[in-house]
Amino acid sequence: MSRRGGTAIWILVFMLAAELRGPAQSATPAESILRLPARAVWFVVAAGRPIGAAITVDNRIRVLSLPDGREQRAIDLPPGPADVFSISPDGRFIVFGDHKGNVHVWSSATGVTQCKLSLRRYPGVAVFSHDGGTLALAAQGDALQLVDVAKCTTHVSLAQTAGGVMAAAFSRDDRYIATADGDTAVRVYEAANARLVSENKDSVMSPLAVDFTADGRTVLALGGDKVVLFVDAATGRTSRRMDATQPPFAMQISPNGTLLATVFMKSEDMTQPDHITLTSLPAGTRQADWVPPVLPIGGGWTVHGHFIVATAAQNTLHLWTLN
Amino acid sequence: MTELGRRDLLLKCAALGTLTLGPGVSLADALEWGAPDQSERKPTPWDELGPFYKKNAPHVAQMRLPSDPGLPLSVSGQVFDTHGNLLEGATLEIWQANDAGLYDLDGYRYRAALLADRAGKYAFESVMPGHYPGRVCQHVHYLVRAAGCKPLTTQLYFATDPVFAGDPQRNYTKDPLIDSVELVRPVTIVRTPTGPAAAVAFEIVLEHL
Repeated sequence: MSRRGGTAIWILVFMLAAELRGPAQSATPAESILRLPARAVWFVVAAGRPIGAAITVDNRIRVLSLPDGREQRAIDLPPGPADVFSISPDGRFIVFGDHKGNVHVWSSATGVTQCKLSLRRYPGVAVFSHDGGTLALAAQGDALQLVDVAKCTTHVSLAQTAGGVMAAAFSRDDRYIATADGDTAVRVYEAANARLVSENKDSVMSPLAVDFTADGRTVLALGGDKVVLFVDAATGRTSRRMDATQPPFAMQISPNGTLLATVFMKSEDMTQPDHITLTSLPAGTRQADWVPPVLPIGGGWTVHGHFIVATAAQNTLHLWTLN
Repeated sequence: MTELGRRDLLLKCAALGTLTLGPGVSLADALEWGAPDQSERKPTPWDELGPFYKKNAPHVAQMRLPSDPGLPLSVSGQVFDTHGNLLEGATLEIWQANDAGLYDLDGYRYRAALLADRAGKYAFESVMPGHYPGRVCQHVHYLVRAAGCKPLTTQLYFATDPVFAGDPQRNYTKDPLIDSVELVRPVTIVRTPTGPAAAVAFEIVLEHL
């Protein structure tokens, strides 16, 4: 074999290898570092207001303005780790649930308790509607209940399914809620009355994340199948499949509906970070692909349309902006 | 002989006069004798489904291949309802990590769907699941269903798990997902021609709808 021919073959091998890996990994995202009084263990972002909230190891929730990181308020927590932690998209409320099944909702503006609930076991899902008025809440393995946050009462419960609900998301108009269920189905319900609108059973493994497209017509779901299903919300039919590399920890569509953010789980070692990607919708082209240096502690879409990922070090919160 | 057959035979014998009851023994006593224990049973504690359930698992009781690394594990038990009735035909879906602590997401290794037999019995052959990062204890997942009963998701744990340091009663809460020490089962180590193996009994009790 000539030297020239060998070089050509190696170039071909590299080209094929690059194709199999997919698009080259993005450059390191812009990083901002916020100083905190204690190490953060969980961070959430309000998609409709420039605030976020962190749980710190000194058992406090710290409400932070973004992007400057100025602490607006600290809320004392009961001791013990959190099982759920979320902020409403409008930024009004923060929910925290512990392993004893106690769930607290606070006003992020005042720190005053809005609601206290007690579940029969530890919570697995807590998601606010876009207007902050409803909290979709489920104990692990149990049916999802929709809680009127102002009245602190459950106004409707969804169907109980084997294995319970793994994740849930409201449509942008809050009329519908989609659930990723342990029995492998993706279901869409009317939020007002829990009427089942559609059901998709095309996943073989439990879906672990769901979100509605901005127009509410399609639900995206991803789980152990490692395929993003595009499900027609009205009929439950799969309209499209998009390959993924791993199951997700989280998946969220951007406020303007043009980007899909996916935080992947390294399924063979969930304590290690995996890829975080931004994919354009509906084209499906990769816009960003990054592996954080350590396991993220949260993140989300900001009011300015940026997807930020949080990692923590001692007394510092690192916010990485992917777009 | 099935319970129905035994009862029928006794009733027929009594009707034909070929059954003689001793002093102080009623026909009801005779019918009751030898019947299965139908005392009330406590439901098997719930445990969470976890992220890696996969439907359509193969109907195989032999999950372990001869070449598979790890301590061979035999699990057996019966499925009851809370009234002590055996639940023939109950379906048990089982899944677990392999010896290295890895779940098979792409195929069906260490995943099985079983059917309880006429005596409510089930059994499978596997390996002791490995530990893996992010989860404290070795465990096997169950999803059990039977007509008229609530589906149960639970997990089987092993008293020999080093995490329990020989005292599951005291240490089971080291895994925050274990709500009840009843799910931690004794392990019998047996000698086989190919080396040591573990045997575990795990009874399942389902609640009615």
